[in-house]
Amino acid sequence: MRKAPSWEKREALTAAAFLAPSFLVFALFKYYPLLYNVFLSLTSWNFYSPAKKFIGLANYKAILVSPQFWQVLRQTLFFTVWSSVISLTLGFLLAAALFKRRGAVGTALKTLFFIPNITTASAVALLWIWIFDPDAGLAGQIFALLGRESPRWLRTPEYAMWIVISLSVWRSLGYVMLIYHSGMSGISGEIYDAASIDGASARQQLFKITLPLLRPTTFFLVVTSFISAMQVFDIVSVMTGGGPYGTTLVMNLYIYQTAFVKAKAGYASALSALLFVMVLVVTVAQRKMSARWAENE
Amino acid sequence: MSERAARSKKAGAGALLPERAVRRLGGILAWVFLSAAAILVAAPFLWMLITSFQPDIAAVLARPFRLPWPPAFKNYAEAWKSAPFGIYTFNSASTALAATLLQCVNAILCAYAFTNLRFPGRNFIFTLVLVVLMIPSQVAVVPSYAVISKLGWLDSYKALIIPFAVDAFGVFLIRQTFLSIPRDYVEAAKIEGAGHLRIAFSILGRMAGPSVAAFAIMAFKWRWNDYFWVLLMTTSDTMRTLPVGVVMLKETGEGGTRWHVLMAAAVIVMIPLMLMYAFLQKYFTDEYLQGGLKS
Repeated sequence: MRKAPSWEKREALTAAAFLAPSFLVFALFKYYPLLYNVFLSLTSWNFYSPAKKFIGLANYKAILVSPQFWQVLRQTLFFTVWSSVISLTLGFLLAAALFKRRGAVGTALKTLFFIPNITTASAVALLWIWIFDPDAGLAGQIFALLGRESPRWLRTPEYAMWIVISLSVWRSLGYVMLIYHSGMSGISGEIYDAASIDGASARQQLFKITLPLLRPTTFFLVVTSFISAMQVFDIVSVMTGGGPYGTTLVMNLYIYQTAFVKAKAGYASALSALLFVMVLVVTVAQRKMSARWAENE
Repeated sequence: MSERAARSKKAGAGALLPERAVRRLGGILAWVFLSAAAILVAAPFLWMLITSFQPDIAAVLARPFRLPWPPAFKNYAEAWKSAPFGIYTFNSASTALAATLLQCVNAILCAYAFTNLRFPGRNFIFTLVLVVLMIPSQVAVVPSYAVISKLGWLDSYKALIIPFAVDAFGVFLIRQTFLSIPRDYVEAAKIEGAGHLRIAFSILGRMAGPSVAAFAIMAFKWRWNDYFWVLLMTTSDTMRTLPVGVVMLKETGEGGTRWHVLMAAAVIVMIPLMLMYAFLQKYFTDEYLQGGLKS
């Protein structure tokens, strides 16, 4: 008769059974694609041929001398920085303005500001095309009321990116407001009472107390907002497809088009690897900084 | 009145009066700012609704601001029929629900293993979960496509569900919640002879209910709104979900976009999450607060 397995062994087996499905999914759709991506980025694969010819760092060299890559990178960073800065600033101001207004109106406003955050990006991108339709859209109608001809918003290189940014800000504003609001609730009221007794004005309190104490919150929001903005796809793809004249082409859309329209799978993998490194740098910076703040507290 | 008292009174008034005025001005400014923000945030929704109730495209172009009366609910019926919206809705609902359910089950299983089972390499294996958290969601498109293609899953429900059967953040979040539950409950259940599965789901899972609910809402929202992955992995009309289907509806419009129908379609896409938000607001916001605090 075989000896019954010890309880340690049984517990380990149970753990294996509990973890196996999840790790199978992680392995197939997270770890393996990441490693495989590194390999593909070193090939000239075109999606169709069975052969994946190894060409070393040629893709990376080609990318770094490609003016289009630098243009796309510049535009991606432009979108990332401005959509983050604007939504953080407005979200903070909304949280500050709503903080002491806890009545029905304040609650209703908070709900209203949050709703765009749960909208479907592709559907509201269609709504934005309609709003900025130069003939009959909302923006066009407002210009008509003022007796002026509306610009052709999404067809004009100077405006198109800003319209994309406006949708991004509209969708993320409520989230920023909510996080700041909960951050503000965590600051003790006694600090403000003491500051008032010492004669600090409301503005001084905002800049000398609230903002410095909310620095970890701000940092968290900057990082999450950067990470998601660097990977923006849906709203740009639906609204402009990268146009006009490639002025709203951002990294993920560029990767998508390179891979699935031009079938340059190897080249697209190299672009993906570069985007991954950029996002990773931001993530690691966040971990390092949060750890340092945690130590200081 | 002595000179000194007068001076101090004057100084007091000097510090007090402008302060009160400044505060009132600040209050007015805050309301102006809030009202402007409310108008800017609400206007797109109102514009979408007004357009969706216009009787026809001529009315859309002729009197776009007037609230159409009676509202043309037929646009919604037309949007529903003009594309296989019934199929899109079914696909969206079934894939999002299936992925959400699997994510909750797997998060509870993993969290239980990491908190209540002893096995070699536990910390290292948990680090592997944290590594997944660092991998940006859309980054390896080419190999992901190759994997799905090699599995023969292109254009199938499997491609829309299985890769999302587990989420590293969910594992992390539920593990944190399990750690905060006193060990006594688990010990008591063990004495009563409960097995691991029962402890994981009916004891710890139930006690972690609010966390699980908040995470489920987050997972459902993510899957319901997803556009990129569905666009990539599906080719036939019968496999598409609402976010992709509604964009296709614009592209198939002949002779100019029929905005009244398209806006009705956009409303249909977003209604389910809006209703969920109306009834489960607490969990929507909980999710974010936890996310914010976790950092």
